[in-house]
Amino acid sequence: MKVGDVVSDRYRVTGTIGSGGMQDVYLAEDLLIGVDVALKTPQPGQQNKRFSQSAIIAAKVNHHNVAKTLDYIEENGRLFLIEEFVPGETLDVKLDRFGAVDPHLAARVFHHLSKGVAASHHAGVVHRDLKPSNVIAEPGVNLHHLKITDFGIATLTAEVFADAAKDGDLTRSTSGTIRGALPFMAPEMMFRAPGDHPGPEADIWSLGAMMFKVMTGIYPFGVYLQAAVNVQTRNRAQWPSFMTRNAQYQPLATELQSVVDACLSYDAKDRPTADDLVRQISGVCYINVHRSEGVINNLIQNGYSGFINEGADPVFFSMESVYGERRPAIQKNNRVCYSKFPGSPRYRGHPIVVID
Amino acid sequence: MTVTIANRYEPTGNTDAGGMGEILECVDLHLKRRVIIKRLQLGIDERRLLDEQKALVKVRSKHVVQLYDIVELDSGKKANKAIVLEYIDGNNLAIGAFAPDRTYLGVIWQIACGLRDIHHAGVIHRDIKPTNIRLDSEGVVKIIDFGLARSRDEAKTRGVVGTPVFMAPELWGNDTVSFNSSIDVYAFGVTALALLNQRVPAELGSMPPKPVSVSSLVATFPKIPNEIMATLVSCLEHTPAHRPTMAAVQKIIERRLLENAHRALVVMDGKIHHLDSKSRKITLNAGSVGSIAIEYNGYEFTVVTVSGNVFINNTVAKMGTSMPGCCVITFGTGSNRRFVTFDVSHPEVMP
Repeated sequence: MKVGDVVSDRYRVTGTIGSGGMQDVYLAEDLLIGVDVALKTPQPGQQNKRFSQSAIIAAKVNHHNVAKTLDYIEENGRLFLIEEFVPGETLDVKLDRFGAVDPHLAARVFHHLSKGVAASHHAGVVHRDLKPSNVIAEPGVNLHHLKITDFGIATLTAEVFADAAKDGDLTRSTSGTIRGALPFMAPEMMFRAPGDHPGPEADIWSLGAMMFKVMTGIYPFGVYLQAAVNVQTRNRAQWPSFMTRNAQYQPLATELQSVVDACLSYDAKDRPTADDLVRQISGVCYINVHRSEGVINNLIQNGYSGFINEGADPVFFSMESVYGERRPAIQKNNRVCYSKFPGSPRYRGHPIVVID
Repeated sequence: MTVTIANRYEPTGNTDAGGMGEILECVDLHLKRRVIIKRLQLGIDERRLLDEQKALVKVRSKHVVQLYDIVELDSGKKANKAIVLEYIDGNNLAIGAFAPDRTYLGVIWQIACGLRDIHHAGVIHRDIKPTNIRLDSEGVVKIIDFGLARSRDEAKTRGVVGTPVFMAPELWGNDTVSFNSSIDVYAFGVTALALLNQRVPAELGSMPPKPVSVSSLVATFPKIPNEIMATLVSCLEHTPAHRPTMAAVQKIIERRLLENAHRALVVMDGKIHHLDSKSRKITLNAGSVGSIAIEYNGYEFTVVTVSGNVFINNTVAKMGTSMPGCCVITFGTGSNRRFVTFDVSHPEVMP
C-alpha cells in the first residue's frame, strides 16, 4: 500500500503506522465519516481465511479499553481490517521512556487493562498475545485512554505456534513472532501439546507479566528464549527493592505486587479471573491526578530537593518523592514525569519519575 | 422476503417496537455481528443529523454509540439515507427501575459523563429520557437515539402524544424560541428523578411543566443526598441560564460516589499511618515545636486543631484548612525542622 491508495472508495491511506509479524498497519482517513482509522492488511504469504477469522473474533469485543473493530473489506483479492485509530504510542514505547512506572500510575494502567481483558473474556474472546506493544496509550505521560489492540491476532499466529509445538518445543522456534511473545507468555502456552487451547487464564498471566514490567522496568523472566527457560525452571526475577524502599510508595507497591504474584501463578487455576482482578483493583486507592512532563533545572539543599522548570512557575520537589532507580540530576536524568499540588511559594511535585 | 442492505447488512427481522420501522436490527455479513440501522427522515434535517453523528464520532466517548457506516435505503420512490450503528447488548433504562442507592448514583453519573462528552462535541441530544439510555452488558451507559429527525416542532408534537415530561419549559413556547444544550440538562434532571421508584411531583408532569418546589422534591425523595437533590433542582430551573453544565453535574455526583472511599497515607519518622473512613483522625505531635490534628469528613481531610509552628506545603497551617492532595507537613522553622508526608488517594470511579 502507498499513501493515496483508496480502499473500498472509503479509506484513503495517509501514512504508515507499523508492521507486526503478520500484518501491515497503515493510517487512513475514513472519507465517509471524516475520522482517522487504522487499516490493517495481512503480509504476503498469510492465509486470507485466518485474517478474516481474526477480524470476526476481534469484532466481538466491544469495550472502551479495547480498540474497536470498525470494518472489514475484501477487495480485488486483498483483505483489509479497519480499526479505531488511537492517537498515541504503544505501551512498550512508553515503558522505554519511563523505565519503571510509579505504583500510582501503574495501578491506573492495571485497572484499565483489567477492564478491557474482562470485557473480552465476557465476549468469549481470549487475546493470547497480550504484551506492551499491543496496548496503545494517549500521547504524553498520562497513560490515559488505554486500549488493547490486536484481539484475534492469535488466530493469525496460531499456525506458527502449532507448527512450533509439533516440533515438540516452542522455545526452540526461530520465529520472530514467538520470540517476541515469549517474555509475556503463560507456561501453558509455551509448553502446550499439539491440540491444547489455553484459556483465559493465559491472558491473566500475560497481564501479570506486563504489570511486572510496568512497575519495575524488568522482564519478570527475561527476554527471548531465556524467558522460556526461566518459566520452566520457575526462576522469576525478584521484586526490586526500590519499589518498597520509600514508605510513601510501599503500601500501594506491596498491594499491587501481591495481585501480580497471583496472576503469575504457574498453575493456571491458581490465577484470579479477569473479574476477580477488576473487583480487587477497582477498590485500590491511587493518586490519579494529571501528570506533566518537565525538566529539572535547579537542585538545592545539597541535592536533597530541587525545581522543575515550568517557566515563571517552577515546581518544587523533594528527592523523597522520586520513584525508581534513576535519580534526577541537572545534566543527565533531568527529565521527569510528575503531578503537582498547591504550595507556597511554589507548587510541590509528587510522585516524581525520571523519564527519557 | 428480506433484502440485504448495501450488499452486507441482512435484517434479522427484529425491529424496535417504538421505532415504526425506522430501526432495523441487521447482521453485518462481513464481520458476522449484529448492527442497528436507523433510517433518517427525509428533509432538511438529514445533513444536520449526519454532521452531528460525525461530530460525535470525533469525541470518542465511551457513552456514545459507534457509527460504522452510512448507507442508502431504497424505500420505493426515493433513496433514503440510513446510519449503521454498533449493536449494544443490554437493556434500555426504565422509569422507576432504581432504588435511591449507590448503583443509581453510578448510573446517573455515567449519564452525566455521556452528556458532558456530547455537549463538548457541540451536539444537543434533544430527546434525553430513560428509554433513550441503554446499559450495556459491561455496565456502561450508552446514550442512544440522537435527536434523529426530531426538529423542535416534531419534538413538540411527539411530546404531546408521548413523553412531554422530559421537555424543558422553553420548548413549550412559540415557534421562534431558540434553545441550547441546557434542554438536555433539564431532561437529565427529570430523567434522574423518573428512574427512581417514586412518583415524580405532579408539577413536573403538567403540560407545560410548572416549577417544582424544593420541599416537595425532598419530601418525595428523602433518600437522595442533599447536594445531589440540590443539583437536580438546579437542572430543573425554568430559566435555562440558571441550569448547571453537565460537567459540573458530573463532578458533584462523582464526589458523592467517592464518599468515605479516600485514604490518606501519613509518614512520620519513617512510620506509616493510614487515615480513612474507619480511622478518621490523626494527631501529629512534634514535641514543643507544634502539633496538628487532621480529620477525614468523608470527602476531604481538614485541619481540626493546630498549635505552634506547623506548615502545609510551606503555608501556615490553619484550622479548617483542607489538605492538598499530596503535601508535606513541616514542624518548626530552623534546622531542626521535622517533615511528615501526607498523600491522599482514592479509587478511580469507572463504569
